[in-house]
Amino acid sequence: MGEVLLFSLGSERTYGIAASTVREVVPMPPITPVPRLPAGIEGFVLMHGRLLPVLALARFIEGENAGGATGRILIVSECAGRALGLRVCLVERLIALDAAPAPSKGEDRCIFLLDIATLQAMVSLDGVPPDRSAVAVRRDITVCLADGASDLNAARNAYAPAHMTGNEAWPTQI
Amino acid sequence: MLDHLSLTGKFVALTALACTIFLASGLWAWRQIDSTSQAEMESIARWQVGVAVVKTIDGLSLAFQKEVGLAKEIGTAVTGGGGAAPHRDEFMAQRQAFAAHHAEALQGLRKLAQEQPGLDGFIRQLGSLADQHRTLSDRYLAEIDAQQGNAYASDPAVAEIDEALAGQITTLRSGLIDFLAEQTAASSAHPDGDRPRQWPVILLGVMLGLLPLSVLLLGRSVTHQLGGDPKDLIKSINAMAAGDIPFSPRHAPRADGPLAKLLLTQSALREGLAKVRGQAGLAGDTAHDLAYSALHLADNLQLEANAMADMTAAIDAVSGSAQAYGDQGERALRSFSSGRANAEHGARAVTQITTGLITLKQEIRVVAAEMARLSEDAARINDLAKVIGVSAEQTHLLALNAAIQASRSGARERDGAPLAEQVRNFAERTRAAAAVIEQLSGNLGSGAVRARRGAEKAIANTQQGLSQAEAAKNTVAGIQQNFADAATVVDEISTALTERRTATAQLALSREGVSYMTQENTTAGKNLARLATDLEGKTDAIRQALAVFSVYREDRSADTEPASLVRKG
Repeated sequence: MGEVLLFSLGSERTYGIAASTVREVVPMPPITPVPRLPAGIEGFVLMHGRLLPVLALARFIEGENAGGATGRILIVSECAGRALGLRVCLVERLIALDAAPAPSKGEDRCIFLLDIATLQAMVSLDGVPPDRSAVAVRRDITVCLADGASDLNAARNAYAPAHMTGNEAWPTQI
Repeated sequence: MLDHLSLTGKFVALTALACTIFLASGLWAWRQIDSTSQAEMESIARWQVGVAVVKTIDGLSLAFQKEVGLAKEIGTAVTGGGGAAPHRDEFMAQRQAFAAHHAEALQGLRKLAQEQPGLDGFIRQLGSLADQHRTLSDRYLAEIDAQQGNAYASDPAVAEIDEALAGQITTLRSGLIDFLAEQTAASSAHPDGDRPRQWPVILLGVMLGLLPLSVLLLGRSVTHQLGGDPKDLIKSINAMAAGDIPFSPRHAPRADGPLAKLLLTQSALREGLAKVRGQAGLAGDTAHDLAYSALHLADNLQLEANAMADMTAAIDAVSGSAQAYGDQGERALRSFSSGRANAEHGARAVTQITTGLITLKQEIRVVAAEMARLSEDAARINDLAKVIGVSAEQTHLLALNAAIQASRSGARERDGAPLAEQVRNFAERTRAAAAVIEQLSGNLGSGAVRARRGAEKAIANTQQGLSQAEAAKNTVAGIQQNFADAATVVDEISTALTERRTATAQLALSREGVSYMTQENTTAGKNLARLATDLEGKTDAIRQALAVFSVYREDRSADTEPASLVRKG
C-alpha cells in the first residue's frame, strides 16, 4: 500500500497524501499573488529556481469550515511530472497503511486521503473546470471530504456504492 | 327841685318829656311838609301845561314855515315836472296842520288862564295870529292857483309877506316862555320869605338840644348822688350777688360816695378770698403731690422688696450652680489631663507607624527592582524558547523530508528511516519542551510584571499612608496643644468659680439686712400715702367751700382746680 504523509488544515480532521507524490516539505516561503489564476490557486513561490503554484488547500477543501487558517507549511507534491504546492497548517508524520496498528478503543480517527492527480486536474492551469464532487481517491481505503458531509458515518453512506452500506464500503479505519 | 325826686322818678320824667317833644315835633313837621308838597305839585302841573302849549306853538311855527316854503317853491316844483296839483295838496296839508296846532295851543292857553291870570293877552295875540295866517295862506293859495307854476310871476308876488307873521309867532313863543318861567318862580317863593319853612326846623333843633341837656342834668344829679356811674354800681351789685367779685368800674368813683365804699369793700373781700383760695390751692396741690409721691414710694418699695426676693432666689441658684460648675470644672480638668496623656501616647504610636511605613516603602522598592529584573530574564528565556521551537520545527521538517526521500527511494534507503524517525521524534519533543518553556517563561514574565505593578501600587499606597501618618501626627500634636489650652482655661474657670462662691456667700448675708429695711420702708410709705390722701380730701373740701366766689373772671370755668389757680395767681 505504501506510506502516507499525515497533515491537518487547522480543523480536527486529519488528511493524508501518498508519500510517493511528496517531493519535500518546507516552511512556507513568500508567496507572490498573480491575477486570473484558477480557483484555489493562491499564487506562486520560487522553489529551487522554478515557479511553483500554491493551492490554499484549507479554503479549497473545507470551504467555510476552514475558518481563518491558512497554513505555514508548504508540501511540494509531484505527479506525472507536474508539481503543485499544498499549503497546510501542520505536518505530522509518515505512516504505512499496511503496517498501521489497529486503532485503539476510543480512537475513532478517520484519515481523508487526497489524490494529487485529481487535485491537479481540478486546479489545472490548462482550463479544466473544477469538480469538487470528484475530490475522492482511494475509495477502497477511506473516504474523502464531500460538501456537507462533516460526519464520518454520513460521509461513508454518502460515498458508498449503491448496493453497499458505509461500513461495508469503507471498512478500513486507522 | 330835682334832688327831691327819686332815681326812678327822674328817669320817668325824663322819658316822658323826651317822648312829648319828639311827637310834637314830628307831627308839626309832617304838616308843613305836606302843604308845601301840594303847592309844588300844582305849580309843576301848570308848568307842564305851559310847556305843552309852547310845544304846540313850536309845531304851529314849523307848519307855517313849511307852508311858506311850499308856496315859494311852487315854481321850481312845477318846472321840475309832475304839475302843481301834488304841491298844492301838500300846501293844504300844512295849512290844516297849522290850524290844528293853533286850536290846541288856544285850548291850552285857555286852560292855563283858568288858574293863572295874565294870559289873556297871549290868547288875543294867538287869535290875531289865526286871522293873519288865514289871510296870508289865502294869498299863497291864490298865487298858486293863479300862476300854475310860473315862478317868475309868483315869487315876486309873495316875497317877504310871511316875515311879519313869523315874527309875531316868535314873539308869542318867547313871551309865553318868559311868562311861564316868571309865574313858576313866583309860585315857588312864599310871599313871606323862607321863615314858614325854617322855623319848625329851628324849633325842632332847639327841642332836641334840650333833650340831651335834660339827660345830662339828670345824669349828673344821679352820678352825684351815687358817687359814681350808676351803671357801674348796678354791675358791681349784680356781680357781687353772683359771687363774681373781681369787678372794675369804668370811671373812678367819688371818694365819699356809696359806689367807692362798695368797691373798697369788694376789693378787700377779693384780696382776702384770693389769699384763702391760693393757700387752699397750694395746700391741695402739696397734699396731692405728697399723696402721689407716697404712693409711688410705696410701690417702689414693694417692687424693691420683690426684686430683693428675686435676687435672693437668684443668689441661691447662683451659689448652687457655682458649686456645680466647680465640680464639673475639676472633672473636666481631670478629663483634659487624661486626654493630654492619651494624645501623647497616640503621637508616639503615629511616629512609630511613620517609621515603619518608610522602611516598608524602601523594601517594596527593592522587591520591585528584583521583579523588574526577573521579568527581563523571563522575556529573554521566552525568546530563547521561541528559537528552540523554530529549530525543533525545522528539524521536524528535515526529518520528514528525510523520511519522504527514503520512502520515495524505496527499500534500498529505508534503513535511514528509523534515524529520521528518531530525529523527528526528538524534534517533536524539543518543540513540545520549547512550547512548555515558552509558556512558563511567559507566565513568569507576566507574573513578574503584575508583581512589579503591585509593588509600585504598594509604594504609592505606602507613600499615601505615610502622608496620612504625617497629617495624623500633626493633628495629634494640635490635639495635645488644645488639651493643654483647655486645661488652662478650666483652671482659670475653677479659680473664678471659687471667688464667685465666696462673693455670693457675702451677698447672701447682706441682703438679709436690706430685706428687713425694705419691709420697714414699705410700711412707712403706705402710712404716709394714707395721711397724704386724707390731707388732700380736707383741702378739696375747703376749696369747694370757696368755689362760690370767683376772684378772677377768667377762672370761673376752672375754679375747681386749685393747681391752675395757684399758677395764674
